[in-house]
Amino acid sequence: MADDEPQQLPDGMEQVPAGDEPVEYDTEVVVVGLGAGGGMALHQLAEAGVDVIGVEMGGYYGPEEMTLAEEQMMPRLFAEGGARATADMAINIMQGKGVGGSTVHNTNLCKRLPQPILDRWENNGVEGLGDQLQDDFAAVEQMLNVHPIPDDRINANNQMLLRGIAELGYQGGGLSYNRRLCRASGFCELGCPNDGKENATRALILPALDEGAQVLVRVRIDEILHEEGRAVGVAGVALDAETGRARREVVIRAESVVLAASATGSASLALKSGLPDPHGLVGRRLHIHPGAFVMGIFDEEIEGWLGVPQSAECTEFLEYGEDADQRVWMVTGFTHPGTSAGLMPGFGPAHGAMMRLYPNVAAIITMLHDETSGAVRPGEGERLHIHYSLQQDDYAQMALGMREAARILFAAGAREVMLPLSPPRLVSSMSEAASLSVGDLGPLNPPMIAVHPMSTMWMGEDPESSVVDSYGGYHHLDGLFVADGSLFPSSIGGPPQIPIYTMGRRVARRVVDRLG
Amino acid sequence: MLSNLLQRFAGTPDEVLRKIQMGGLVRSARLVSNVLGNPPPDADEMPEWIEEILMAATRRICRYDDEAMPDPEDCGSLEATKTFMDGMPPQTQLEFQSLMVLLEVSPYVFGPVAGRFTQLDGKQQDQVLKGWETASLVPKRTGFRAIKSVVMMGYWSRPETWPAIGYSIHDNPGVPSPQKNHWKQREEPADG
Repeated sequence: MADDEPQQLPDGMEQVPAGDEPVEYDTEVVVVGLGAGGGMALHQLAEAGVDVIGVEMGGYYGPEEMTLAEEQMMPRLFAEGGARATADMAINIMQGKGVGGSTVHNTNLCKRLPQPILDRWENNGVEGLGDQLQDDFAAVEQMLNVHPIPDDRINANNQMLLRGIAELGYQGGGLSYNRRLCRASGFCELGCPNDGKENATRALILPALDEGAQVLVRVRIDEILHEEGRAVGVAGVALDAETGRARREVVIRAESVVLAASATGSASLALKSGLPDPHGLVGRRLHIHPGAFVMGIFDEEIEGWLGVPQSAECTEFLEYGEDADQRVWMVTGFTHPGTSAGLMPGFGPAHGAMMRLYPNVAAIITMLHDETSGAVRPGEGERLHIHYSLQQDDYAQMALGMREAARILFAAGAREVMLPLSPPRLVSSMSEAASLSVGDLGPLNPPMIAVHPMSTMWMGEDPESSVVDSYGGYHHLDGLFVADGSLFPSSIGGPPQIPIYTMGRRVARRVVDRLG
Repeated sequence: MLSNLLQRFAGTPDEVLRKIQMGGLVRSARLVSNVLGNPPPDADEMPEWIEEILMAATRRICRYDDEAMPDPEDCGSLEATKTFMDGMPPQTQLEFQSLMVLLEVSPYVFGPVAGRFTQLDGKQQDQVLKGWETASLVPKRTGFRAIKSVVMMGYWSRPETWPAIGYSIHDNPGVPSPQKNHWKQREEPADG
């Protein structure tokens, strides 16, 4: 297997060698972070003939290096080795790390921003959300081969969801994805061994290298350099691939800096760098779409680990307006045994009995279009302080989601449903599940996972109430742009990758314009 | 009883836990390590005595009384757990090791009997773990969740455990040949 061999990097991508002297680069634009937003910005800038360097804290993994071993791939592809969590440890934050960012391990769901979200943002002072944005969405969808998921790719877990919502007359249906060479291995979340995804790496970053872009891997940026009111580059350290420890200082001087290290990483870096922030906004307003797994036990075998993991949704309880009464998005979810075992209740023989049911389990993730606002603060090295305590309204939405997920599972034929409370509640009828109320919930109850951090450097034209302008330009520092989920002025209530790719394209265009 | 004496001087178990939190998990674990005369948590290499605590916890968490589910020591569970942890930032590794140190001495404060976790019998160890799992204090529950997640990743990522749950990589039609062949070799001893 490739994990024992020295890593071959594509031409144009390099790992900075160890050394005592700082290594320096000069370029027109440096892009910090190479996920959806940064990958798109790198691609668009390179295609426009701009001299651009992309910097990524994690490594590069080609399809042959996707070993499918959970204990290896989780630390490779996820921030903090998969251990990132809110400061109170109540919510796991599963974020990507490495070339391609979260697009390497996401399930490729593709949706544009819904019009009510765009209306809300426009009401909050964001410009340019009309036809031009829709054109950008269309261009991105074409670049990434976005298309409806074919019926023959809907696995048993997703068929369960569709069956349940059809039985109940709930809104929902099939989703779209960005895949081309998919062989339905079901390993999307551990890195596709078939290179089946049109993710940021395959669709944007490798082509950007062909256009002349340069990429530095395993470099952690610790500071945005700024002088006299303008960004002039970034500084950080090259990391050892084995130990993750710093092995050389790196300085990259640039005319423009594009910050695309995610809603947690970008805000943390901005704060650590002491950027001007006269109204103290940076890092606040964090939304994360917190979610909980509700599992149903079926007589039939589901084998949810096989096939495309997510292809269907329920939107019956999802409204987007500022005064929405229902803010729950439901999709299927499934994980491989190491992660699943951590989610199953209990330990010892009782847990073993639950694991025996693994092939017969179907799961729904009830995910909140959250109004709770958290905050990000810098930590040591890769670590961050993420403060996020679910507000009571959102607990009520979580209770609604858990009840309705149970209803869908029962309608689809589940004989029992496991409500992920502490202690877990195994129910065998909807009347038992219906008794779940907001009073049953609290910190770590249910245990939650979040995969969509956003909104920490939000857009708007008013420098007193927003961090960046409508095209990602930082209000208080010339030459600094933001191109990731930080830009969203609110939670979006759906998969963020297409909106982030699209914002990356829009921001890159503004950077090119500025360079003249 | 020792725990009563401790309460008189250090406060109720809840108060002790809060003090530990305030003082910092890692600092508390260093202090405990010194008191016990053992090396403190070390991100570069987990001290042997902390490995023993981790293995003791693994034995109880993954004690399934099911012939199809192998003993954690027989299937390389600890090695997989360490591989998983090696990918975490050094500070996270230190915190996890510190959690293990606190688990080791928690029976002195929380019972069921005064003694080190590794020296209790299996039933008593289960009581300690159950106490952490169901604690009203969120930090104890999060501590249990962290330990359980890491231990479960180590155990259930071993192919030897998969026949019991019908899972296989080499039988997965979507997996390409090189990976399929690799996993066939790893899964076959378990199949046989």
